[in-house]
Amino acid sequence: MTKHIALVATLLVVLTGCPKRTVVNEAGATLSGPRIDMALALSEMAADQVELAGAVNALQDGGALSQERADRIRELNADVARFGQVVNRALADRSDDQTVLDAVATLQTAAESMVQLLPEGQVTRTIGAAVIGALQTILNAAEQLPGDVSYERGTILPDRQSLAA
Amino acid sequence: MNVERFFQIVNLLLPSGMSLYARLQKQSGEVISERTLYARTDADFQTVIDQDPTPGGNTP
Repeated sequence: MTKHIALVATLLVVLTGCPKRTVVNEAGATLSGPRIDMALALSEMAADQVELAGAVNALQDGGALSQERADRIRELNADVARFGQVVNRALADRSDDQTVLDAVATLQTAAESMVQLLPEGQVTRTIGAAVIGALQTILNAAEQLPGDVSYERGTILPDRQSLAA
Repeated sequence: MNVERFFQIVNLLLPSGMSLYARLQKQSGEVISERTLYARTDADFQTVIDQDPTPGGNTP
């Protein structure tokens, strides 16, 4: 039975990891490049996080998740969303490459922390994997941008990490 | 895990799974303006942020 659940989980990750959309500007011209790739992946990440929020609500309503654990996931999910929003706004505002890369770096730390700290469970693991999949796409695109990413891993989210300890 | 428990979990997973699939179908081949893309992403992130039980936890 666990294998069936794992199969569903894997399928969801595969499905959510391969959308194909075309982004156009106001004149209708198709846009491409690392910033657009990042924007699309970020959009996927945001949608995955909304799914996670919905799944948490459903699990809690169904009695499969305690209030405490559900709130914990909501906190972590929101933390990542805040950093994701910064990246999205940097892209939307046409910020310089270094600003975008710095925002991506903090998003990476936040997302990786979230996935590590998520309570055990198929749903959270599945959507956590989808978030990381989107993150990887963002990082791949970020590598195409010039600039240098300098940050210290693990320095973000100290409060939440200590809460989980 | 008994059968009843299995279907209970499947029933919890299905709405999320179907929603994800519907999203994929909708997005496949979708033409979206840059402005709409950023606005939609921002709105999705904000939806998640609004559900934080301890608002203002870790802010960038």
